[in-house]
Amino acid sequence: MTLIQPSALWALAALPLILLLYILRPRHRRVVIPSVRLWQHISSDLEGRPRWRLPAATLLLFVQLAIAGAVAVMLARPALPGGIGQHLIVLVDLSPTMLSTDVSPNRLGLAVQDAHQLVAGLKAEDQATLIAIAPSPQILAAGNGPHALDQALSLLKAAPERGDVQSALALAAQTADLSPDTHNRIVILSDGTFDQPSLKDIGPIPADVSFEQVGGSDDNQGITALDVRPMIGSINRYLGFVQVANFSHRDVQVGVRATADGLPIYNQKLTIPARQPVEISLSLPQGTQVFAASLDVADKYAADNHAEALVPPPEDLPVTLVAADSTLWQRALKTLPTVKLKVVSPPSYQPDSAAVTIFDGFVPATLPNGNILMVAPPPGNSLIPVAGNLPATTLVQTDDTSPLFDSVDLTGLFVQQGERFNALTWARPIAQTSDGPIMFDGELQGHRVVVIGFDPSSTDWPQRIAFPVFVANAVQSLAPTSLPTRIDPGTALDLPAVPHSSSVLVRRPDGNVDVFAGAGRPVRFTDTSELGTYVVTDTNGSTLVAQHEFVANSLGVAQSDIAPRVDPQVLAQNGSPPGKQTQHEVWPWVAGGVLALLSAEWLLYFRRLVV
Amino acid sequence: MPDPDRRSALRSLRKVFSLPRLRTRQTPRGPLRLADDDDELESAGELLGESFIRRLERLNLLTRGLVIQGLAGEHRSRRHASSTEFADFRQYVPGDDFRRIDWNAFARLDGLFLKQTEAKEDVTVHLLVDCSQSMNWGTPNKLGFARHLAAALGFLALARFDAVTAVCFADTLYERFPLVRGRGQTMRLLSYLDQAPVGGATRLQRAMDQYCSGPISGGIAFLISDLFSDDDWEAGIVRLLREGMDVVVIQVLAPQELNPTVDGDLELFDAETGDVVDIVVGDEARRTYEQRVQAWCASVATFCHRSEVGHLTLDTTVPLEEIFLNRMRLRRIVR
Repeated sequence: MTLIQPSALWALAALPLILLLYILRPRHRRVVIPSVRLWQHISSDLEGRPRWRLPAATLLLFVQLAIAGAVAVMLARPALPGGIGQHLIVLVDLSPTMLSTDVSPNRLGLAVQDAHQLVAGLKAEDQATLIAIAPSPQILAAGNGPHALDQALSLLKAAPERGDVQSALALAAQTADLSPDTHNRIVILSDGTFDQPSLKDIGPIPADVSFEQVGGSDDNQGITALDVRPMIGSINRYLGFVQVANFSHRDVQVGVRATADGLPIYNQKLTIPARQPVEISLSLPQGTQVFAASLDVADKYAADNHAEALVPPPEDLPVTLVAADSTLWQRALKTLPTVKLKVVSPPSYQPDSAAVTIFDGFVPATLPNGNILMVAPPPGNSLIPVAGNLPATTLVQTDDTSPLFDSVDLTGLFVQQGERFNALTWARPIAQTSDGPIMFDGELQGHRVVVIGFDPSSTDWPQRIAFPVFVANAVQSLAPTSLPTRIDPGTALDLPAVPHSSSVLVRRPDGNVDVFAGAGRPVRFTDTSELGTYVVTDTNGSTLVAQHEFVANSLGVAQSDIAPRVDPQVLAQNGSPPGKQTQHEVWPWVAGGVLALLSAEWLLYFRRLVV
Repeated sequence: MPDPDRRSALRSLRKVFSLPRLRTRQTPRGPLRLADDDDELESAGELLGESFIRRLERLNLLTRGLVIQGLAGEHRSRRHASSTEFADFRQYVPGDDFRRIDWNAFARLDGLFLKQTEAKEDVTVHLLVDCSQSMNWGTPNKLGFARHLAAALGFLALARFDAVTAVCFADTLYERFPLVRGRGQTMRLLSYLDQAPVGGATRLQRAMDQYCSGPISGGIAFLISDLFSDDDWEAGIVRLLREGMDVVVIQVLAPQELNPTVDGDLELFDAETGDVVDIVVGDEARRTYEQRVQAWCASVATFCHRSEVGHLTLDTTVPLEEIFLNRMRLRRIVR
């Protein structure tokens, strides 16, 4: 037996202190009796001793000394030598393919069972850590003993996306590095449907690493791609595109069904060669909103046997042009098919709800709701303070990172008469002349505003192809962003603010609804881990303002190939430190003894038992 | 016509036995005098039991040895003598006095028988009371108990017209109560017992030597003591026997001595010698002490039996009626 904290034995000094208290306590009670002759030599150990004699060996004194001694020993933390301490780090793959049913109940269930068995072999003082191989690997539980991970293991469920084995292994290595005194063991429980991780990038792993394969079948046929594309040459017509792949090593006959808004448009049995895909293109009926495809096949992975895609709704982009002479702008805007143009002369302009408003030589007193392209604002307006004119100059630089100048080259554009602005603190310059900035991009009063400090008609810009391209870039950049119709599961989505809405409701595929109050600001929605269709509804009280849908699916060859690809031997390595011998602390037993002694002392004190 | 001496003695006894200890009070008419309130005496008699006093009067002290010639008393002797009270018959043997042959028996039984009669002699009762400090202890107090016992024995003897003397002692003899006779001396005896000094250590051998060196005339000696003597108490008793006295040893112990209730870490202080014993008294120690007390009493009883000395060990809680009417009768001290 060893003492982990031997300095605590100083507490044994309490023993003579207790004896001293017994010696110093009040003298014996004097009792007068007729004769002491019959009392003599009954307790011979007491007689004839000096007055400072040691106290009588009463059971109460013995118990109190025993308590003090036991407490001192307990504080010294006595310990018995044990075996080599272990730290078991279990990595469980939560990738979707772990739901494959080639083993019972499925690969994840079997991995959990294996993990239980591994942890059950630990001793009480051994450490155990559970790490989930998920898109963002994390430590789910850590503790000591054979039941440290039981609860966390029982709560494991598959993630919507493939796990990051490399990061999980790096996390396990860091965890093992924190246990230099134990024999560390990392066990990866996975189906191995990932590419070989680069152990070199992780660095030295202070643990013995082993890989335990769960499952191994490749019997899967799945939809690896599903998309809706505009039909060339037709307005508001779309093609449905389906790719079905056979990941098995044998040819398989697969029933493929496709529906448009629930109505069947395709139902065929296809024989797909081993490890080959087939592609199907279908013309969707006009007005189709949801295109779905399903496979009728008895494979080992069902998650990729059904997929849906949403047809993007036709959207017009309302643009208001406020200009005394609108010819130049109309010519450029009419080339944009989605633009619904409204032309207004400056005197008759009233703010409207256009997504984009172009003011040419005019600045209104009140800005409209949408974003704004401000061209040659006149001097004396209240919003864009014009300080004067620039001399005739040439554009020398544009901001290539700005989407406004995508495929637009204005370098060398000669500007006969440009405007000089006072400091526009809300905007950043995006085009420079040799005499100063002449174009700006910023946010004013909650609106995105692009300012052009010269009249394009006074330059040769309109004669260049760069002008209509710039106009198209400006309209696309200033138009409010719309939601995508398809996302990958787990993707964070920014739901744009919709005017006049007070709350946003998101109905998830399982039917649950998330409500976000305080609309008018973009809402970040992150709970997209479920596969299926999400419905976003903007409301104002009980009034429906806008509604949009998007689909979260995880289609792809990598997602559907359930055959193991990793070589277990490559992952295996021996790098654990030898570990140190553990010590079983026995202070809880001593504490139990102290408690028993305290109980005995209590009984003795109150019953006044003496020997 | 009531006997005035008897009435006075009866009043005194009633008073003694009804009160927890002898009460005296100073009066203008004399130094010490027992209370004589008639009403109080009557109630005391009721408390004590009139029948006990009556029965006490009828008891006789029983002697074992010869009775010294003197005045004829009412004490019943074991010696056969010429008197009128029939005791037994025995066959005639040559040499017997013809005058004592029972001729009536000869006529009926055709044999010579002599009629034996009992002698009635007076006897001297010696009341030897230990008044040492060890006797002044216990609840009920041992000395108070001893005084009551001596008073009752004295009354019994005086009532039978025996001579009574008394002496209190510790390490030496105190003033001796002179030899008296007759019921009229009861109050004096009680007064003597009540006023006896208390204190000192017991030296029984020395005290008995002193007593026997004085004018004594045999009789019955009642030694009332706890026998916690610094010297040889057995030698003291033997000294009395050598003087031709019947000796009755009445060992008085308090209930706290027989079954002590003390407990814990104690300093036991000897009331007589001042010796100290430090001890932790618990169940085990108490058990050992009680065994020692029993052995001590047994050794006293053995000595007395071997020496033909009457012996009684009395707990101070035992009522006098029980002592006289049962225990003393059982030990053939009275009848």
